[in-house]
Amino acid sequence: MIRILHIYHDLMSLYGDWANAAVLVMELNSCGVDAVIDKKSVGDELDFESYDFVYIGSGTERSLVACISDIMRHKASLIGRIEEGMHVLATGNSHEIFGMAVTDAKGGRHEALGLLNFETIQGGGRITGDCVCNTAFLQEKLIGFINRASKGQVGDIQRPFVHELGSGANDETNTEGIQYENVLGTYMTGPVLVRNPPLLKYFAGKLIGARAEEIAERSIPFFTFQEDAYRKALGELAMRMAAAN
Amino acid sequence: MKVFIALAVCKILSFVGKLIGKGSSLPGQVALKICPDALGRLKLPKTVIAVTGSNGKTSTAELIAQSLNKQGLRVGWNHEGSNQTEGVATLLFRFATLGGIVKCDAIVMECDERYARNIFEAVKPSALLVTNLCRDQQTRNGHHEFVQDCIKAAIEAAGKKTKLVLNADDPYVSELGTRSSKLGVGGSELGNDVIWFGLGKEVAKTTNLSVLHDPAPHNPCKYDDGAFCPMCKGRMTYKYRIAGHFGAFKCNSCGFGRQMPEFEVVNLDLGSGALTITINATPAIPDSEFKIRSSLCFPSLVGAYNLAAAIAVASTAAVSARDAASALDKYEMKGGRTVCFSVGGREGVLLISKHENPLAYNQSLAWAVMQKKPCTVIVFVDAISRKYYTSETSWLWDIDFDILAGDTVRNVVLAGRYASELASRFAMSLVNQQKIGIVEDAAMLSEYVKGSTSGEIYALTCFSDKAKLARELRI
Repeated sequence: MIRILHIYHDLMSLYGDWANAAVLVMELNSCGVDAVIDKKSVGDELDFESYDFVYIGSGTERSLVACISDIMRHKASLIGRIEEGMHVLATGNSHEIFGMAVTDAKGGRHEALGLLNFETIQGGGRITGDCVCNTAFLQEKLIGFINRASKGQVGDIQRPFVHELGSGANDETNTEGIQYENVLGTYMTGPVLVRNPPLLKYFAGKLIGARAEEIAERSIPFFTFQEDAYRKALGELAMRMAAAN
Repeated sequence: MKVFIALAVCKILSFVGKLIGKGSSLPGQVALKICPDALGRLKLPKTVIAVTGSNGKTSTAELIAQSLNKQGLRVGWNHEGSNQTEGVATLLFRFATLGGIVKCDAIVMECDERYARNIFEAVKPSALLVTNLCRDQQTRNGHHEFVQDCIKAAIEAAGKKTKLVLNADDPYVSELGTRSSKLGVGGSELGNDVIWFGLGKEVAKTTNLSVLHDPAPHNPCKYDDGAFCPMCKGRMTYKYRIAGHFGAFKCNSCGFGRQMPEFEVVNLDLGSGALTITINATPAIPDSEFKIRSSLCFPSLVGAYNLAAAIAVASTAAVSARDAASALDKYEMKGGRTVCFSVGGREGVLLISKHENPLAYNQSLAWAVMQKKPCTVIVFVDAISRKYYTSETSWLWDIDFDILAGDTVRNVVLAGRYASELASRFAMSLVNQQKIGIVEDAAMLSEYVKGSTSGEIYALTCFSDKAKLARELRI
């Protein structure tokens, strides 16, 4: 049994984020593994010991500040479990909570979890757009959409998502996201795991071992649709990049 | 002199544009190139009404124009829906003399929620209506709080003399009428006069759109923009919900809550195919209830909000609720007729629903189910953006397709270039997968609907995909 925690499911839920936890359950089930989703939010008691995987989605800039002020209650236990290898996926701006701080548009600085040495400055206009990126841990390209405040991040960290199309964590880089132990964060928003079968399989593999690929039972049509949609988007975005060059 | 030339050029281009049936923003754009501060130099009529918000801008601007027009006022409005600075410029210049005097009694200008600020730098509205703030075109707009900040800035640009006409049921719009958010930009008193409109608790009870009351009653995973207070991010509770985050909200933490509206819809009948509302203008005055029978595109809660908003706005131009209501009674919206068609002898209805706007889709889905007839629902998504292919389909996950899980829905047809995306989305819904058909090639749609589905046909799509769908279904 794999236990998934969808944390701040109501506060950080701006772009159909719920689908990431739901599709992971479908994938695990197709591998013959049971999985359950637990949902917790602001003010709830929770014990990270009970979970194998934590998912957190995107929120507005103000919601993110509220999220930080709540998650600091759990700082020690969360970081403890991360050091033990618990899996975490943070999509959209939520991965900013793992930095040193987030500064809001009025200049207020909110101390964050401090897992990695970077900071985020909110405010400015929006950076929105389709993206295509590469990672060191997957052979296939990933597709997605970035939708963030334009000021972005400062800090010299290794960023796992290298974008061919789309924007990085700030004006100076085409890379974005965070990776530390089994924590993965990206500015890509929405149902990232639905759009990217390779990333979904990667997480399933990490959670239940290398046998995931071998034992996967692909009888339900969902996986065909998912793969079709991914291939189509990849093809269309590749054409757009070719036209731009 | 520059203004003179700019206005002259604008008038010539508008005339040519009319002849060839094109360009509602180009004349204004060219005129502003010639004289960038031309807007600020115009002499405007006393009544300048600006309309902004996520849903219902074009419809409500039309209703306002109608309610003023019927009083014998000469009204200028941007009915083509060209709502950025250039579009508004085209509108104002069209009515201006070459000396810069805008020759009409009232201006009604629909303003894009993100560009309203630029417009108000030069044109100060006498009243600003904010219809609602919902998830809408997030690829362009980011999110509703970002748009809310844009409107806050627009209100500041308009100045304190602008009367705000605000949706009391929408916490994000309501916040504009109280003080600025503690967490957000600003932090100062806005200080403008506010007139509130809304839908009352009887509406929440009587409307049969119960599927829209409780966000995602079937699937607690989906979003609820009413969960947290826009002021302090404390938890909110609702005495009742109208739809999504609209309702009688109250923050458990800071106490921020729904204002008592001056213009409240107290009775609404969506069942009869038309829409009957009763406006209760200042409850203290007897004889202040007005019935309106309106034939909107199809009866909807947003339609009811639009009517209430239009009457509230008319009051800022000294038009009584009685006169405004009478002007709107039985008024037929331009292009507002329900589009009916038939495929293989079966009746069909086209339900235009904005892509990237979950509320618009939920309303159409709810309408289809409300008919209580055996039916086939077509969801057609072929081009999300008019400009290019986008992989941003997250809004499909925000739509409550579980609404279609009932027995009356015999078949669901997922069609267009995004058919696979739709199929993945529906695989994660409560709709019986046996009922779902997938037709990626739009040219095959008509044949498929004839041969493999049953019941009345309700076709959901966006303005941008309407022409293609209409062609394939021979509407």
